[in-house]
Amino acid sequence: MDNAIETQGLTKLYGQARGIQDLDLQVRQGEVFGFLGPNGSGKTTTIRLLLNLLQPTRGSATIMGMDVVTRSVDVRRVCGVVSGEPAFFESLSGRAHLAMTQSYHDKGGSRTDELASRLGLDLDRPVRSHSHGNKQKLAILQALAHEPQLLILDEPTDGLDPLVQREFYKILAEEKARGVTVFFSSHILTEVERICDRVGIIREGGLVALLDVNDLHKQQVRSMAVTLNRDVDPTEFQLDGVEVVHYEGRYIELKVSGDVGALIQHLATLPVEDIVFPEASLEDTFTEFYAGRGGEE
Amino acid sequence: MSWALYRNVLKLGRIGALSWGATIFLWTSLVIWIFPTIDKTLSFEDYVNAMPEQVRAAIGVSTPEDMALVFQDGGFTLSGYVNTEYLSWMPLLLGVYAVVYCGGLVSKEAERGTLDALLSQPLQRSTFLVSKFAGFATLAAGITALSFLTIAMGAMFIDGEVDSTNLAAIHGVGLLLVLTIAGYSTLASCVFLEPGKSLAVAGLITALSYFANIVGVGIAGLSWLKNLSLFHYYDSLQVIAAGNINWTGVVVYAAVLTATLTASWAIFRRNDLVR
Repeated sequence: MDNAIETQGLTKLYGQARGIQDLDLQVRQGEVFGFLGPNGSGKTTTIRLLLNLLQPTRGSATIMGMDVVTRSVDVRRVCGVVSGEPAFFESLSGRAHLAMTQSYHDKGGSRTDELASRLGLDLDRPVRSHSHGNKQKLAILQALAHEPQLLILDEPTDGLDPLVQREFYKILAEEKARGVTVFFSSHILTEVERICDRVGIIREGGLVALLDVNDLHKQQVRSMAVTLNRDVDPTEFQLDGVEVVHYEGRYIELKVSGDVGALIQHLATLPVEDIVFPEASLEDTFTEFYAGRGGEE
Repeated sequence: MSWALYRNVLKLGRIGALSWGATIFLWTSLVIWIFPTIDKTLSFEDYVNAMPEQVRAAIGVSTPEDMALVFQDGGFTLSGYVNTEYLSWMPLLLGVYAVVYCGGLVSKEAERGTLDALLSQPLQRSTFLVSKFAGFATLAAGITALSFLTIAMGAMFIDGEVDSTNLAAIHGVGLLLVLTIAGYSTLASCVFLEPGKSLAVAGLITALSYFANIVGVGIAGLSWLKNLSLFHYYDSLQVIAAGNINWTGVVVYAAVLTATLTASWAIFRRNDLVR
């Protein structure tokens, strides 16, 4: 079976500026693929190349076995797209936009009202009266309405409130269950971890890692700050995957990688007053990959 | 051609088209309405005769033969008067509409991000271009038809005489000139993809073309300039008053329109849509 997306040496240079360089990527059919990278890393450029909005400097790409340049219309017929900055005709209603989209695809429309209701979107109001979040919902609806084989989503949860985000993740799971491939571009590590099967990490226009989402979890480095009700003894924290960064009096700062089970059990034996354990940051994870500990599939 | 996009172009462009249409309607109505009060004013012929040659070129009355078509029996003919006061200016007025609309045909969509949204759908770039241009052509044709109807019905209302075939012919030639202006404005829009630049370039070409005709008529050493002007081939007085269509002009307009739209497509199909 063809990969849903395949790129070979895909490169886009903007004069002296970097776009992406020699990107080799395979996204399998039916998987949710996370495309992770900080802002400006080349995620959007990659998506625009896949949609033939940009011409590659060199290299090639296929979607469902079709070349994205020579068969761009066929490619876009099987895709549902949420772009990074969704734009609409402000005086038209959401319903008018959906009707226009459906006319290009010659199908869809049967579930727009159901999806609109799930996302909490009024389709009959003109777009100019919508908030950023509601415009994002409309973009999602437009991408889903014609029941595409491949969803290309560029930061799709930007502007959505947490409840709607949860509903959106549910919808994505349903899409996956009916065999849809999802290409999910994001700079939010936890979001990608939550919904993706595999992850490609892009930085400065190049793919720095391609790994299973469980491996990504193992590679993650997180900071933890612990306050005890007595002075800290740093030797108490000499555990696998735990590194002491700083300690002072009752306070200690740790760097934690991999499974945190052993550390949590150990903390339970200590007189802990407070713990701060924020989500892993993308930058910390990248630092690990640059240090040579990143996995390449 | 995407009918869905075409319908939306008409829907989104209707306010602008109505505004231009209303302007044309008021202008032509006013011209017709005041005609009975001035058609026997003898001093107008002297007044027009006394104008500098360049100004007479601007209102389409350059030669003694032209004067004979505008003035008869010591007063204005209705055809001559409508030409002097309106028809000679019509393509310039609608040309501004064409520049404003088609100068942003692609570039405004690119700036707003709607071009990305549309071209992320299974829509050929050529289909996008054709649907948008067809939408503009329909709106421009509607305004031109309104102009024709207002003059034809106004002439009937004041018992004036205007040959309706000639009137239709000059509106047809005028529309073709407006579409030609729209053609190179579309090309500018595809080349620059930035509304500021594309509108400036399309506007500048139109202004230079218009003044090249006036300067070419009035200054002997620069008479070659007028051949470079699209407006030179628009001889509204000869058409409305004598039924003489300048077929060379029609061919020039059709050729420029075809060439600019083909070039627009050739450039736009390979453009990087960078945001």
